[in-house]
Amino acid sequence: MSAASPSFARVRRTLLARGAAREPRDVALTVYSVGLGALVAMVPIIRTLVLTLAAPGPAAVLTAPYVRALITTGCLLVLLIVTALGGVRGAVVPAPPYVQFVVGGAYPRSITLRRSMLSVHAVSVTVSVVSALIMCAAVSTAGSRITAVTVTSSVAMAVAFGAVLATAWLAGQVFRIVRTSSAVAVLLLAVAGTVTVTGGYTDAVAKIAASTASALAWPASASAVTATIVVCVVSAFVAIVASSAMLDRVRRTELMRQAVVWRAAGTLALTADMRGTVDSIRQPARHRPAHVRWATRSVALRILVRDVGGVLRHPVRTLVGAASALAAGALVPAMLGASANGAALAGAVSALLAYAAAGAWSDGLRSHADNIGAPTLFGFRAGTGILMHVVTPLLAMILLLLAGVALVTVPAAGGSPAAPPPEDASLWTAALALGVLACALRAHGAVKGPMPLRLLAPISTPAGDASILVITAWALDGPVLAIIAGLVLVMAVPGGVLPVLGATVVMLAILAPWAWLRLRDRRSR
Amino acid sequence: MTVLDATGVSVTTSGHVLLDSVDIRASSGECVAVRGANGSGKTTLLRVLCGLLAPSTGRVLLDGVPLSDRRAEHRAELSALVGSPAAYPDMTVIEHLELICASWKVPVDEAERRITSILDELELGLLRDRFPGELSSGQLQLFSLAQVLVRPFSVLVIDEPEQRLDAHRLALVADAITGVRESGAAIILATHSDDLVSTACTREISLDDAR
Repeated sequence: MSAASPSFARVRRTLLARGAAREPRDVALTVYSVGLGALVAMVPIIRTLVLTLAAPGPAAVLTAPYVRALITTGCLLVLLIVTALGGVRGAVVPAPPYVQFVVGGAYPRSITLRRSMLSVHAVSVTVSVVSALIMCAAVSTAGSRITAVTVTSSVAMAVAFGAVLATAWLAGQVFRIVRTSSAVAVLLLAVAGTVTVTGGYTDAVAKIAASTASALAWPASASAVTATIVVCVVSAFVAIVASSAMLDRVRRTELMRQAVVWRAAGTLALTADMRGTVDSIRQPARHRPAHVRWATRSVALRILVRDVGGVLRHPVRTLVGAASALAAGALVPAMLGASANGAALAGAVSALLAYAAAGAWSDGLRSHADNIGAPTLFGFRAGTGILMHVVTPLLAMILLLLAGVALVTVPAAGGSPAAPPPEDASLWTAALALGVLACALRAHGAVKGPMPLRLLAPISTPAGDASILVITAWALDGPVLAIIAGLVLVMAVPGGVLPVLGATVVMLAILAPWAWLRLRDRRSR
Repeated sequence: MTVLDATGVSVTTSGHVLLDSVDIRASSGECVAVRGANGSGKTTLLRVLCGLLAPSTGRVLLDGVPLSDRRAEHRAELSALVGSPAAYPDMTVIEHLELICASWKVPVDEAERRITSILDELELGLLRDRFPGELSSGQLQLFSLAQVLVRPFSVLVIDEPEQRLDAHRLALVADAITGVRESGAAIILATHSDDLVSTACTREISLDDAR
């Protein structure tokens, strides 16, 4: 390998010289853009995050005894999800020509893919460390005493977690352990949900977590910090070495498949074709359980079974959807009690996550909508089909969003009186409303149809053609409407249950006729 | 006796004539082939006959009543394959056929009999547990036909069923269409295949002549 490295460096220099060669001014522009972006966008976002987490509700969670168990569970869940995602989009996905001519060449993949993997490690560790620092800053801002020992051990743990996370992502790409990691993640979610609902979270799990690896991040004494740092550094080192060894086991066919799929997705995303982008990365159904006879004559029940079956045949998407919905639910309590900016941010992010999660359960809805305007195959009307296909995502979303709220408020109620009480009905109503609105937006999006050609007409302004703004707004109307819905709920939640219900009814009253007009337009096209 | 009857049907869009005054009628037990060069308006005519496109002039009657896609009884009577229907990507071939039968309230035993018969007729039995994404283009065409044929109907409208099929499978389709015709359904199909016309159809009209 040592003999090959210099020659590969020459190959790489040649590639750069022929292709994406960067001149000093390109590098300077990149540095300037990243720096400016960090200052203008990231710093305010991080500051808002710190202030949001420092509000009484979230801070109560961060300082509660069970926080170790919560963070350990969350980290394990993220590890499992990322491992499962490796089979869809791995840690290293270079451009197709690079895979064809360089990765498929004579050099070991531990050399040809090394830089990409190191970049993934760097990003993963950075995000992990920044997250840990945000939590430390939030706890400190909330008034709790936080020592250098705590910060140091948290950062060390974050470094190790970031490195292990990147390696787990690569492991998912190499070994395609989608089903196993998905199953373990679901099991983990089920256990966490059960102990939360039964009230055992604060006692039993906290004790278990305190005696396991999670305790490393919260060492009881200063002398234990050294041991923590050593363990974390060794873990990070082992993870990086393991990833280097694993690179040689990456299959070229799988790498090329992912490279082609993600290149196509990138191109479609640039053209603002969001539906095309999602379709291009959609994994085909793989899981094929034994054929089940449906004895019922009820069409609605058969559609429900069909949709549930479809969900089970896409374990990764289902898992990601479930995690997103739980996270959306967990953010709902932050709509109440946080600062105005924090509540707005929580509402917007929660609504976006809910909208994204609903997409994971809406395949039946989309497939059914694709047939609108074609000769009918089924013995029910298009609108009826849409309503029947909404049932599965609606049930799943409501259940998961409420579970998300419970995950935060039920343990918090035992841990700190500052947290929103679980009996605060407006929170549960807001979660319910979020689920209903996310599904309504999915149905509204499913009947959208192709982009009207009139939107492509140029719009002359002194700054140039502004038609791209209209096209982008049309392409992203779902997420934009979701954010608006989240912000409306944030305004309604402090008023109690009735304002939340009223706001939901008003938004549904706007969405339903709009969707019906789209449906009518599709049918007559 | 079911009759699909179109009189003086034409379609004009933005001043362009897509279909010019066509008369066509199909009765029970009859299979009418619509022939014509590319661009002669075959698919446009079939879209009108399915109620998907309103004619600019003329009228289409199904059992003496103006055809409308909004009428439940017309949707129940008329089965059509114009273009490829979008399939559920996460549902197997047989699950599609079962769902279609269930949506038309076909009893379970009767549905099983129909599905088995059609899968055998089109030689799709070995593909019953495949997802649509796992089928070749020819197999997809047969699957689309199976979806259209498995549901109850008395009028069948098909656009170029021979697409992407080899000679053997085209013969299977011709036999299936002949079976449907002999069971008493009225059929209108657009095709470029002489074999299909000679095997399955009882008469033909040419849109080239109409123009």
